[in-house]
Amino acid sequence: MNDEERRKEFLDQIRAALDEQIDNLDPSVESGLTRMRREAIKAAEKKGLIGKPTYRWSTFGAAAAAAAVLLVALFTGTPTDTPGNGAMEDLEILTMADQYELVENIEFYNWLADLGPDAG
Amino acid sequence: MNDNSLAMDRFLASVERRAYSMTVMATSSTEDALDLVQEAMFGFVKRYKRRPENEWKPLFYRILQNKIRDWYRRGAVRRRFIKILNRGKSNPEASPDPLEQIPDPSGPDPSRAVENKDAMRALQNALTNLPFRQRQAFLLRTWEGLSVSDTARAMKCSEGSVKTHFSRALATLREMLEDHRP
Repeated sequence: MNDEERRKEFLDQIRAALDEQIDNLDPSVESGLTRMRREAIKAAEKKGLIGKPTYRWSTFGAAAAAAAVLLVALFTGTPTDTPGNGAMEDLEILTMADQYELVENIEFYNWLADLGPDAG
Repeated sequence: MNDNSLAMDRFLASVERRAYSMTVMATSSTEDALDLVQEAMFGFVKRYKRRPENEWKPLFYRILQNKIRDWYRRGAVRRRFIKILNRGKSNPEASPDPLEQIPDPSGPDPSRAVENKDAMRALQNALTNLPFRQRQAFLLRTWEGLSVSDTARAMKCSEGSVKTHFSRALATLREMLEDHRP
């Protein structure tokens, strides 16, 4: 057996010993690890960090439309409805929307704004 | 759970036992190990859930190693010395010896069972007594199966450093475990 083979055998033995050890973990440790894992994922799901987004497409559509109106108004100076009131309504809608969602989709809004007043 | 959550759950389930065992070796405390693994899981899911799956393993272990290092900085070394000094004394608050949780393998040859347990204990002692970075490199490469580059990513060091730490660890373990090799 050459050096490389001896080295491989040694590492295989260590790996096997360590694997055997964790195959026989104390049940309280096993259940603790399972619980922690589930809690971590649950916490992330609640915050909308993983899994499906917490918003629905209809909400996204309304927020996108409102954001587009506001961006268009800002970049073109075109009044929306009644001076002041339309912009305030848009702002109200935007501030009601999930801020995280707004930041995450800022590229979409910028792109939309680049298309000009006929977009959307 | 949806698909993304399922993938994350599967991944964490695949690493949690080894992560726990590595952390016990680093801290000599099952309670602290559970706490640190829990912190690593929460931190990992929070920070890296949107990264590609092939990056998850080194990223998870980077968080775990950072947690372990922070634990050391909080005076863990001092606590270990106190535990060593108190070994053998009655101490109801001491963490249970993780080696005692390994059941004796039953079989027709009791002497073999003793040899196996002795060898396991020797391995645990040898790994626990390795310098922190050597143990990190050795376990991540050998046990977790990370490549040199992924290990470097997890340890936040160069690939050259990983190779150096690994080869030194291997040399030390060979020397310490010579008597237990079949």
